[in-house]
Amino acid sequence: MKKLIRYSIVFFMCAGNFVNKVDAQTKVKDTSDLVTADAGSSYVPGPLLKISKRESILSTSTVSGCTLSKTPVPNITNTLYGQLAGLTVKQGSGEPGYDNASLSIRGIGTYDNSGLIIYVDGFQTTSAYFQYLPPAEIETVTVLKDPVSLATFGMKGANGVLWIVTKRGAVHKPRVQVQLVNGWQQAININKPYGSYDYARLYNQAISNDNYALNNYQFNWTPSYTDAQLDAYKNGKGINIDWYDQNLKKNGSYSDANVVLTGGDPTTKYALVLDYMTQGGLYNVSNSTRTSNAQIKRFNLRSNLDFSFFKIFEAKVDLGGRIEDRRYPNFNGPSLWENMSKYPSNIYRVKDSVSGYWSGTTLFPANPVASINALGWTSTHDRTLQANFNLKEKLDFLAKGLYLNEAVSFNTWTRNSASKTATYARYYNGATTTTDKTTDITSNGSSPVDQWDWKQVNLTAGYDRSFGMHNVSAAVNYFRSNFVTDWGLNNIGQNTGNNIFYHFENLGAQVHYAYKSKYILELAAGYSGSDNFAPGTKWGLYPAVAAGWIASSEDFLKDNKIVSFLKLRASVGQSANEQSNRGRYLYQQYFVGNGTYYTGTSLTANTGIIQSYAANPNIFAEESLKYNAGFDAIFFNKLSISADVFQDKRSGIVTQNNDLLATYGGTLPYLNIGKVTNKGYEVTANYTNKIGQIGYSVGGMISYAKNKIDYQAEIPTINDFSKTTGLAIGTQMGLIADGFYDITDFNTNGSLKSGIAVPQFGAVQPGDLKYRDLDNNGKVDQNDVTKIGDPGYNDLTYSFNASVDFKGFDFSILFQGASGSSFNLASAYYQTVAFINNINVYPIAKNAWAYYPAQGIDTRAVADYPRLTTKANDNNYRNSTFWMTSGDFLRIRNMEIGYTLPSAVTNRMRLEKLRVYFSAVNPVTWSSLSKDYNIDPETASGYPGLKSLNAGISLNF
Amino acid sequence: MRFKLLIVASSLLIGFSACKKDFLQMPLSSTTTIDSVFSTWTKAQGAVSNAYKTNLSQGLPYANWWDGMIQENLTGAMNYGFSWTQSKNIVLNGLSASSVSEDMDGYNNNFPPIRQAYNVIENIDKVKDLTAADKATIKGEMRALIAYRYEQMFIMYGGVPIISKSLSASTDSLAIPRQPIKAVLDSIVSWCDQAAAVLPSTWPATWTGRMTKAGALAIKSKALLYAARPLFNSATPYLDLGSNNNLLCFGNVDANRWALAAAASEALITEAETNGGNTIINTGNPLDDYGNATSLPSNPEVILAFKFRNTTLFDGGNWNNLPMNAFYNCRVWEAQGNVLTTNMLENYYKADGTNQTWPTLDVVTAFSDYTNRMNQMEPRFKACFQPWEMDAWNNPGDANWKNASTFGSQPGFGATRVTKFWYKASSRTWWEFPIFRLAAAYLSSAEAYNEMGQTQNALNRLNKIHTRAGLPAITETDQAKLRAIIQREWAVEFFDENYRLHDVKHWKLANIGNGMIGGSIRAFAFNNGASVKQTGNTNYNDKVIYTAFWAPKQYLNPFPQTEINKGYLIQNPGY
Repeated sequence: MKKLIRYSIVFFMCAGNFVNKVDAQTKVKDTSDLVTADAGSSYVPGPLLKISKRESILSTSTVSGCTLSKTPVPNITNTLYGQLAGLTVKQGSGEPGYDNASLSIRGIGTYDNSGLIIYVDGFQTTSAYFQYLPPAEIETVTVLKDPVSLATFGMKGANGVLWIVTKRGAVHKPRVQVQLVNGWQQAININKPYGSYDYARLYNQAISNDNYALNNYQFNWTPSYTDAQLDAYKNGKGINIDWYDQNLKKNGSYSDANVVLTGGDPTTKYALVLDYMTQGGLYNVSNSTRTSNAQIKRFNLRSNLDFSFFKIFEAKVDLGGRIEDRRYPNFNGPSLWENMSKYPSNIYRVKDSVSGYWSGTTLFPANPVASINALGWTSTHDRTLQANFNLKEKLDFLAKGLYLNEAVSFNTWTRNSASKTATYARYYNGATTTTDKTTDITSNGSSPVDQWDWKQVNLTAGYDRSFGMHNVSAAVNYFRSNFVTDWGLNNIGQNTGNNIFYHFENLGAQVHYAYKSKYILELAAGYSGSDNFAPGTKWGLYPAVAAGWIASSEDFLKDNKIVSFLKLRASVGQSANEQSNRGRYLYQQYFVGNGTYYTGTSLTANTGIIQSYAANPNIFAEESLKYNAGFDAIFFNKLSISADVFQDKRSGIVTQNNDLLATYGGTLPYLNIGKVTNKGYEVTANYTNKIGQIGYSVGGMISYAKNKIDYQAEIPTINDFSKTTGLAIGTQMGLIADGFYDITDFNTNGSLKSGIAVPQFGAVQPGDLKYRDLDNNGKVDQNDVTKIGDPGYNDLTYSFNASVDFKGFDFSILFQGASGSSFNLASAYYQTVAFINNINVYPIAKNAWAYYPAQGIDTRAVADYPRLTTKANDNNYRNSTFWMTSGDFLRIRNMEIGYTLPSAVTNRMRLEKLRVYFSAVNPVTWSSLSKDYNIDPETASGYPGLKSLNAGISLNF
Repeated sequence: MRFKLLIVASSLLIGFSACKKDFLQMPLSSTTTIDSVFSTWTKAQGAVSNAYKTNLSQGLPYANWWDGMIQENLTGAMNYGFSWTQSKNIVLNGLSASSVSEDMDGYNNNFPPIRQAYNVIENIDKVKDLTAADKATIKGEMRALIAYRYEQMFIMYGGVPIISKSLSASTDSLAIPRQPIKAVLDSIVSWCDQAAAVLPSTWPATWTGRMTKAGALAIKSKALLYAARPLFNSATPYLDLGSNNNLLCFGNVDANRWALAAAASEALITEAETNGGNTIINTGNPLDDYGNATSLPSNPEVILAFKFRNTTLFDGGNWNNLPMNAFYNCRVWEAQGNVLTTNMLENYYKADGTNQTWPTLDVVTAFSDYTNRMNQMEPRFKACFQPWEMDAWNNPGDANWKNASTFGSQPGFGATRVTKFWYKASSRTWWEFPIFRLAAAYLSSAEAYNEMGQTQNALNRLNKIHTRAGLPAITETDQAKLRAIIQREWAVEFFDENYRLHDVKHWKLANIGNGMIGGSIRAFAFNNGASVKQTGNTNYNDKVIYTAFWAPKQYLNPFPQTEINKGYLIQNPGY
C-alpha cells in the first residue's frame, strides 16, 4: 500500500513536471521570473491562491531571506531598507534588544491606527515575533499592498500586510549550510556637546543676558566664570569630562551563527534551522555579577516538516521557537543617554577627588559613569513559540483540482524579568550630597512580567484547474483568531486594560481566471466580524476586482526584439481596519467617576458619576477604498521594470466629533467620520547582464506616498490658517520666525515699541526670536500658529544597488535614502537648547545673538541662534520655522565584498561551496542635518543607530 | 473515504458557524453602564453628587488650575494676583472671544452640568428603592441646579440657548440659538417655582447642603433682581445689536420688575426665616457675627453653599494640583498674591460709621498713621483683612494667622492682606463658599424698595444688615443717595462673594471704567514707594499699580470664537 502511494505520488509529480514542461514550450518563453528576480520560487507568495509570477496581476513586492541575510544586523527590520517597493522603513534606536525600525506600507493612510499586519506562514503574529526571526529562517518577505489581496483580509487589510514565509525542505539529498559572521559595531554618529571652556564662555553670555532687565535694560557684562577659570579650562587644568568618552567603548560586538539543514524525499521533506546571535552594546562596562553592558542573546530553533501520505494528504508541522535574553545596566536607555547629552563637562570629576567615591550632586545626581557601574543590572528572559499544523486533502477524486485545507496555529510569548541592583552614595568635595547610601548588591528573583497568546484557525476549500484555454484558481477561507494579551500591554485607547481578549473572524475568497494565459480577471472579497462592535453591526463585506493583460503574448509583440515581456494590470477594492487607537466597544454607554460633592455638617464625601463619551451604537471599522494600476515589463530580456500608481481613500476614520455644538454638554462621541486620501507611486527597475566573465546588475526603486486629511472634525481654530485639515497627517504647526528682536525695537523701559506685535509667552528682550503676527491683532500667541514644515516622516523613499561578480569575487552595494520630511530641531531638545535647567551647550549655539561691545562680542549681524539664557524661555523654545530643517538623507546601507573558492578546491575539502566575505553596514550617511548640526536624520537622540564592519564565512556541505 | 471526509469537513464548518455568535461577544467587564447607575439609590447618588458639584462650582477655582483666579481679581477690589493667573490678561487687555473668559470653565462648560441634571431627571424613575416623593424631590433639586446655572449665565451673557433635556448627539438638533433674555428669565423663574413646590425646607443633618425651598427661591430672587437693574431693564442695550437687541435687554423700562424683585426677596426671607431655620446672625458682637456668617461651615445665615473639602492647604508645591483653598487662604503663597486695593478700601466705614480719610495719591505718610487708621475700621473690615505688620483680627492669638505666617510671597504692595472666610478657622484647611447668604435677600429688598420709592421699607431691610455690622443705622431718605449707600453696602457686605463684578455692570455705574473695573487701580506702597516689609516699615503712600481695561462691550461676556465659528450663535456686540 505504502509503495503504491509513493509510486502514485512520484507519478503525479512527474506528470506535473511534464505538464509544466509542455506549458513552458507552448507559451512564450517565460521570463517573468526576472520581474521579481529575487524571490526564489516562481509563485507569488500570498494568501489563498498560488499564482505564478507571470500570471499574477496584483501589486506585490518580495525579497528573499537570502538577500536579507546580506545585511548582518540583529533585528530583521533593519535588513529591509530599500528592499521592498512600497514599504517604508524608518531606523530607530540602536539599543541591543530594542533596535527595530518602524515599518509602514504605502506611507500613512490614516491618522488613526496605521499599523501594518504581519503574517508568518499564514498566521497573524506580532511585530515582536517578526523582529527577531533571523534571515536564515526566512524564505521570503512579501509586501501585500494590492486592493485585491488586501480585500481578502477584510477588516485587517486596510494598512497592508507583511507576508513572511519560512524555509521549507525540498526533494534533494541533505544539504547543510553554515554561516558565521562576526561584526564590530559603532554609533553612526554621536553629537558631542561643547567642553568646559566653551560652556563657561557661553554661560557668561547667557547669565549676562539674563541680567538685562535687572541692569535697567542694558547689556552689562556680568560673568559667572572668571577669566582665570576660563584659562584653566582652556589649558586643560580645569575639570573637563567628556561623558561619552567616559561611558562608551570603541565598539560593540555582534555575532551570528546558523546552520540550515534541508532535504527530503517525495514523502518527507524537512528544513531545520538553528541560529544563535549575540550582540553587546557600546557601554564601557564589563559583564560581571555586578555590572552588565547592554546585550541580547538569541537562540532560535525552527523545524518545518512536510509529509505526504494516503495519496490525498499533505501535512505540515512547523515549530519555530526561540529564547531571547536581554541584559542592561540598571540605569539605562533614554535617561542615561539624556544625561550624557545634558550634563555639562565641568560639574565634577567622575570620582570625587577628595573622597575617591563616585561624584554626584543634588543638581546632577545621576553621574553617568556611576549609572552603569554602580547600580547593578536588569534583565529579561523571553520565550516565544509559533507552532503551526496544516493538513491538506486533495479531493481530485471528487472533482479534479478540488482540495481542502485545515490549519491551526498556537503562538505564545512570555517574559520574565530579574535584576541585581544596588545604590551608591554621591560625594562632592569629600561630603555626601544626597541621602543615597552605598548598598550591597541585591538579587531580585525572576518574575513574570508580560505575555501574549494567539490561537488561530484557517479552513480553506480551493479549486485549481486548467481546461483548454481557461485557467481557474479559486479558494474560500474561514479564519478565526483569538488573541489574548496582557493587561500591561493593552493600553491603546478607551476600554482596553482588562479587556484583553481580541476575537476576530474572516471569510476570505478569491477567484483567479485566465483566458489564453493573456486575459486575466480576479475577484476577491473579505467578510469580517470583530468583537469591537455592537451585536448586529459586527460584520462587514469588502469586495475587490482586478484585471490584467499580458500584452507581450499578443501576436504583435510576440517576437519583439525590445519588449520581452509586458503585462498591464489594474485593480480596485475595499478593505478595512477594525482596531482603532481610540479604543474598543465604543458602542457601549459607560459612566465614569467624576467629582465629589460633600453634604452634611460633617461633610460626607459623595463620589460623583458622569456619563462618559456618548455611545455610538453604529461605531464600525474604518474603511479603505484602494485603486491600483501598473505594469511589469522586461526589455531585451535584461531590464525589468515594474511600476504602480495607487490611491487609497479612507473614510469612516474613528474620530471624536469636535464639530458638535457646545449645547450638547456631554463628552463628545466617537464617530466614523474622518477622511484621508493617500496617493503615490512605486517604480522598480533591475538590469542584469554579463560581459565575458564579469556578471553585473544594477537596480533601483522609488516609493512615494503623500496623504491629505480631508476631514477630521477638527477642534475649531480661531484663524483659518491654523487648520490642519487639508494638510498631510502630522504636518508641523508653529509660528513663523522673523529674525531676532534688535535693540532698536525696544523703549528705554524695556517694553516693545508701539506697532510691534507683543508676544504672549513672557517678556522679550533684544536677541529673542521675533514671530509674525499673522492675524494682525497686535499679539503673537497660539492663534498665530500655521504650517511651518512637512510632517516628521518622509513621503519619498528610494534605493539603488549594484553588484558585480568576477571569477569567484563578488561585490555589492546598496544605497537607500528618503526625503520630504521636516526635522524639528527642538525635538532633539538636549542637543539644541542651551543651559536651561542646567543643561549643556552644543556648537549649534556658537553664533548666538549677543551684544557686549566692551568684551568684543557683537554677533548681531551674524547671529543664527537666539540670545542665550539660563532661564526657561517660552518665547524662543517653541515650535517655529526657526527650528525646522530638512530631514532628507541618503545612506549606504550595506557594502559587501566576497570570495567564493573555486569548486575544484572546495570539492577537495568535501564542501559544496565556501565563501568568505566582508561587509559594512551603514558606513556613510549624507544629510544636511548631520552636516549642519551633527544630528542623525533618523535616530536623533538616545541610543544611536549603529554602523558596523563584519566578516563572515558561509559553507555548504 | 469520500463520504467520511465530507462528514468531517462539513461538521467542522458547522461546528465553527454554530459558535460564531458567542465568539464575537464582548467579554464581561467591570465598567458601569446607565442601567447600573440608576438601579439603586446608593449608585444613583453618584449622578446626583456630580450634578451638585458641577453645577454649583460655577465661577470658582475648584478644578485645581495652576493659573486659576477668583472673581475679585477682576473687579478692582483686589489686584489681579500673580502674573501667571488668567486674570492678568483680562484685567490689562480686556475680555476676548479667543481667550479665557471670566468664568474659568468657559461658556462651553456650562452645558455638561446642565446635561447631568437632566440625565438625573430623566432616569431617576428607574431607581427601585426610592419613593415617588423622593424622586419628585430629586427632580426638584435638579431643576433648581439647572436654574442656578442659567441664572449665572443670564447675568454673564444675557440671552443664551435654553436646553430642555439631555440632548442626543445623533438624533437631536444641537443648533439651539440664543433665546431673548425674557425667555431665559421666564425659564429660570418657572424652574425655580417647580422646584420650590416640591423641595423640603430643611434636610436631615447628613444631607444638609442639598437644595432647599429657600435655595430655589434665592436663585429666583437673584435672577429677578438682575432683571430689574438698569442693564437689562432698559429700552436700548449698552451696544446695539439690531434685531437681536432682545438678547441684551428687555426693550423697555418697567418699574414693575422692581416689584417682582422685591416680592421674590421678601418671599425668600419669609421662607428662610420661618421654615428654613435661617437667620441673620446677630448676637451683638459684630466681628463675631459677621465672621461666623461668612466663615463658619453650616452656619444658619447660609442658604446654599459650595460644600467642598480640601484636606491639605497646598499640595506640596504641585502647581498642577492647586486646591481651591490655595486661592482664598492667605496662609498659602498663591493666595498671598491677592491683596486689597485702595479702590475697595475706601468703601469700608470706620467703626463709628463715618468715612476714613486715607492719604491722597503719592503722599508719603508715616507707617504709624497706617496702623492707627486700620485700627479705626469697622468690624466687617476686621473680619476680612489683615493689615501689614499685624496679626489677623479674625484669628486672634492664632499662630497660623500671625503677621509672619501670612506674609509670604505678597506682591510688595497692597492695602492689606485678605483673610475673609477664615474667621477663627485656625488650622482648618477647608471652608464652604457661601453661594447664597440670607443677608443678600435683605439687600435685594432694600435695593428694590428704594427703586419703588418705599424708602422706609428700604431702610428697614438695609439697617438689618448695616446695624448687625455694629454701625449706626442709616437714615438717608433721598432716593439717589440711598441707592449709592445700598450699593456701597453690597460692596462691603459681599466682598469676595462673587457679586461685585456683575453688580457694577448691571447698575451701569458711571465710574465703571474709572477706578472700578477699569482705570487706575491703586494700592499702598511702603518705605518711600518701595515694597512692604514684614516688620520695620517706615511709611506708606497710595500709588497706581496698573491701569485696568474697560470698554462697554464688557458689560456682557463674549462667547468663544470657536463656538461662534460653528455658525449657530450670535456674538455679543463689540467682540
